[in-house]
Amino acid sequence: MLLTTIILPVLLAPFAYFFERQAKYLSLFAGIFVTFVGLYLWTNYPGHGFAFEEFYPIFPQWDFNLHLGVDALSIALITLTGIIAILVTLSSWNINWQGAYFFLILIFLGAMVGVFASLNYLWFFIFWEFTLVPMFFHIGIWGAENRIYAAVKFFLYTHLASIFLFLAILIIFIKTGHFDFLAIKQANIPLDLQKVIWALAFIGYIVKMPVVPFHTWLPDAHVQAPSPISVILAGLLLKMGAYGLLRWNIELFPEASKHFIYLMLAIGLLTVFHAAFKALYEDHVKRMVAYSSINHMGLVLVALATLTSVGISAAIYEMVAHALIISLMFMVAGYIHHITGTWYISEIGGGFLRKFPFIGTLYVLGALGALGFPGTAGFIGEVTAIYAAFDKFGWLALSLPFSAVLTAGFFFWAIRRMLHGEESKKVSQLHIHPLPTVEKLPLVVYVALFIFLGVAPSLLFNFINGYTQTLGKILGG
Amino acid sequence: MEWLIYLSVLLPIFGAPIIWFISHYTNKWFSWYLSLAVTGFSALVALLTALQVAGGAKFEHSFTWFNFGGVEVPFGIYVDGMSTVVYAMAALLGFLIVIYSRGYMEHDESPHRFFMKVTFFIGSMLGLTVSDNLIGMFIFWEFMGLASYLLISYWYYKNSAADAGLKAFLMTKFADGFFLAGIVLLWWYSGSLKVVEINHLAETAGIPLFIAAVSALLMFGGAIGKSAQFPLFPWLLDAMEGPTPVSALIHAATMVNAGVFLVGRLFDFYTYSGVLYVVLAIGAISAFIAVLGAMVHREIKKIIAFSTMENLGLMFVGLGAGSLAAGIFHLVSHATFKALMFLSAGNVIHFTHEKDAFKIRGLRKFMPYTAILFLIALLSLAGIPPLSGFFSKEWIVHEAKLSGDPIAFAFVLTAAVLTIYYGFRLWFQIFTGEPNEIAKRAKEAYLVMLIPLVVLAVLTFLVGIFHQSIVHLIERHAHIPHDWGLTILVFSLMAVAFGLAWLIYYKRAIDTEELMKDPIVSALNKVFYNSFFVDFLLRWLSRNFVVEFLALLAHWLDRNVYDYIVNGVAKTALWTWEKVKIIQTGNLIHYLTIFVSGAIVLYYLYLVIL
Repeated sequence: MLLTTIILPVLLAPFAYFFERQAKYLSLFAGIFVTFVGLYLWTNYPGHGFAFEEFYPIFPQWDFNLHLGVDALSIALITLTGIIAILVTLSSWNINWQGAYFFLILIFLGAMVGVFASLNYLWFFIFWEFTLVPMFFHIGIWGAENRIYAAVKFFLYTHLASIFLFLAILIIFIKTGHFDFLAIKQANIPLDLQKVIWALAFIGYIVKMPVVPFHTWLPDAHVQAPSPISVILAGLLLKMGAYGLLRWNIELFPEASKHFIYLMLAIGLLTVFHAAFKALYEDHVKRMVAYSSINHMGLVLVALATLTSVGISAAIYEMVAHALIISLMFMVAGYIHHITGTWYISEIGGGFLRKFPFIGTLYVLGALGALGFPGTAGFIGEVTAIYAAFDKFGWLALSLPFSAVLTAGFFFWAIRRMLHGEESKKVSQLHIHPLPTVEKLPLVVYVALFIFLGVAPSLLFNFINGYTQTLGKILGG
Repeated sequence: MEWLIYLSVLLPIFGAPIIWFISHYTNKWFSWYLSLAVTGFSALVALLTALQVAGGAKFEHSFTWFNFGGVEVPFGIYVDGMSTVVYAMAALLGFLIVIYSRGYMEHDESPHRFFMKVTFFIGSMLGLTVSDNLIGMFIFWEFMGLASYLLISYWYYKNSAADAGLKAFLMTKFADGFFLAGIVLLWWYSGSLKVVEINHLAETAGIPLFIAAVSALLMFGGAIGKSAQFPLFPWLLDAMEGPTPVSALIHAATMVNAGVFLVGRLFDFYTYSGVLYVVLAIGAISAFIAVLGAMVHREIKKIIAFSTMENLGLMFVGLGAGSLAAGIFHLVSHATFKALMFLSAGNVIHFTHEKDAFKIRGLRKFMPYTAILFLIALLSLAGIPPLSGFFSKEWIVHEAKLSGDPIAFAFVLTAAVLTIYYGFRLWFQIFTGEPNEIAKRAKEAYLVMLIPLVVLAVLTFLVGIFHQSIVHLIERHAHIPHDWGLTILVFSLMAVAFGLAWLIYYKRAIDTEELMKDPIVSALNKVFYNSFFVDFLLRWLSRNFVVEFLALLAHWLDRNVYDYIVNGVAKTALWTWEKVKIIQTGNLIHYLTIFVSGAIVLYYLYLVIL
């Protein structure tokens, strides 16, 4: 089942390349397939531990075996992967050179499921690195003016970080002779070595998340990437970082993790406020969203740093909320650029909403989600994260509500400068060209999903509570 | 019954987008009927609830909304006497103002957008009043903030409206940061979010006093923002950019009361926490600043907005002095006459197309009913019996005196007395005298705009006459104190203030232009007009400290530190390559030499180390 889910998109990829006109349907099919697999796993998950395990020996002497298995965390993220894949495909419906584009999307999709489903560290790493290649080409080929710089920076930066991750994996292997999650967990690694491994892998993960000060690849990559690829970057690729941190660092080395609580907290808080203030100074529509995205990932890191069941629940929720909300914002920012031909808020200069009500309204809704407005999934993620942070760190956590205030500051100020106000000369010269329905649909679905998750959060919480409470007990004891 | 109360909240909230949707594809004015139906239903439920609560019933229902990692977040309703009064009042006013809006918004191009937002707002306000826990209250509190933002910047294509909306949203959102921080603090220490349990814990001293005080102050920070108190009040004055029915509903009668309601809802907790004197002080300062502003401003709506701020301050004084019933009763009383006043002002503005009170003269002959309705509101505001304002305001002044703080009492007394001055200044100016051109083009308002006003005027009388029963519904054992000495003092001072207004604005015996030539008067005028320059200060801070310092710092760090390091790594690599490439000569002899010498060095090292 899991192997099929990984391999099917990869097998479809060459067909997409050679049958250019059918490529998008293949991609859509693969997305729907992954979503259905995710939902199937969701409904049939027994409630604890790894399920649906599959084991394919490849090089058993070196413990290099394709060991697949999922738990609540992976299932939630695989389902998210499927949904985002569908929406991204719809958003890319009219892109040029579709064969190559969807070829890469399908490869990426397979690798992504592999990352979340793999229980073998080496395979995890292979899938992890594999996601990089399609992204590199997506940015480099379909990107904006400065795409080559952004693509190379993205690739080198995250790849360099992966070397640290690879070193951590090697150390584990040399010490224990295992790559397998369960085997490593059983193995007896000295605490000091655990800390070294933890720190090395941590570098790999936080660059991917990303957090300050390793975040500068992200704004460049996002700004240059085509909007659907920004969605993949924000919605899925960044989740890999948080997922890796949770699964392969915190869950694998609970004892070592406790020594890094305050490091994680410090980096997380720095990220939250640095990104928020930076976004406040931003005039670039998409860069602003990129910093808002970093701001959210900072909150995820703060929530993870608590190492409690409440904190981890909050982190997972915030991850999903971030995927839906920031994806919408990236799409909308892309459309604003597409319509006006400029990236800069000051150049647009007001009156956008009256002329383009659909995109304008979605921008407002996305901004509300991003600032954690009640009724959106962002609120649930934020409130639970603040509670968890207070639970663990006390008074320091009370600064976190002001991150939402700053988010309100930059997004609503942007709304004032760009959407509201008297019509500028720039906007008055623009032509109205309505979006095709197929591109409108994903935008509406993002809104529907994050409002739905904001109203009915128990849907996700009830599913992951078992996982987080088990983990919380391990970390607490 | 409980499910009806849920429905009265959720139907307007979830119905609002549906109202927009249906009307957008049929007839835009169809939204008015839909909105009437929905808010009418809510009003009916609210009145029924109030009747039952008055009969001794109490409604509560709660369920677990979600559970994250073992911590439960509840959602539910709790309707007792105090909340039912505000609940019923808000629902009724909402319904009346939806009726009125049919006339005021007649020339609007997208009324369905207006009614969507208003309906959403009414649902949120009702939700706040019946919510049984702090997270629920916070949710509806934020919903109201959004509705307020959307309605202030309703004419978003005008720069002034867009600016006003942004200011209101950010200022209240800033305050809400404190509110949320306070909630989390209290939640963690008390282990509960429910207001009943928190009040009970406070009574039994189950919360550490220090924590209680800090969280009470933090939550009061939210209340300051929402209820436009010092120093976060400037947004309320700018909020007058919105349509007048919105100003009446949101920025006078309901939403701005949310802060007062919050303190009232957690009154036992606030009493225990020992920060009520802060509430008192902030209320007194705000009332004082506001009344001075109201005396010197020229725009009708701004004057009324200052008056709202003043009365909100008085409500906080009532609560801060330790009387729940005084504060909440003034809330209800103020809501009725202030809505009446705003809507009468709305009639004036709508039919004269003029916001500046000093450009209108002698309107009484052209809008007689509006003039009378305005006068009733004004008398109630000033505190003339038997109107509701008399009972509630006298009580607050009395409580201020009992609080024993002479400065607060002086501020409150000044505010209470000068109310009649600025009120009649406005009324004499607009309605009396020889009609000018602007007044002559006006005509009396439509019936749809007068009927809600008549209902409100009757309500003002009724609240005054039945004040005893309302007060007992709010707080069972409350009694209204009487102090004839104080009443006589207030009334004699008020007579002087009225006389002054009569002399200046009716008889025109004193020329204000002449007075303004005096440097001291003109300086004072400037200070009062700008409310002691609080707005300037806040704007300066947000621009020069937050944006031009903190945000710029982050921007600078990002560019010159974080990215510099990254590019530095790349540059170092390039530099190394630049330096090392000279050994790549392509000459075999060179390579061989390097290879051999390297091998010798390695061998030597091998010998030394092993």
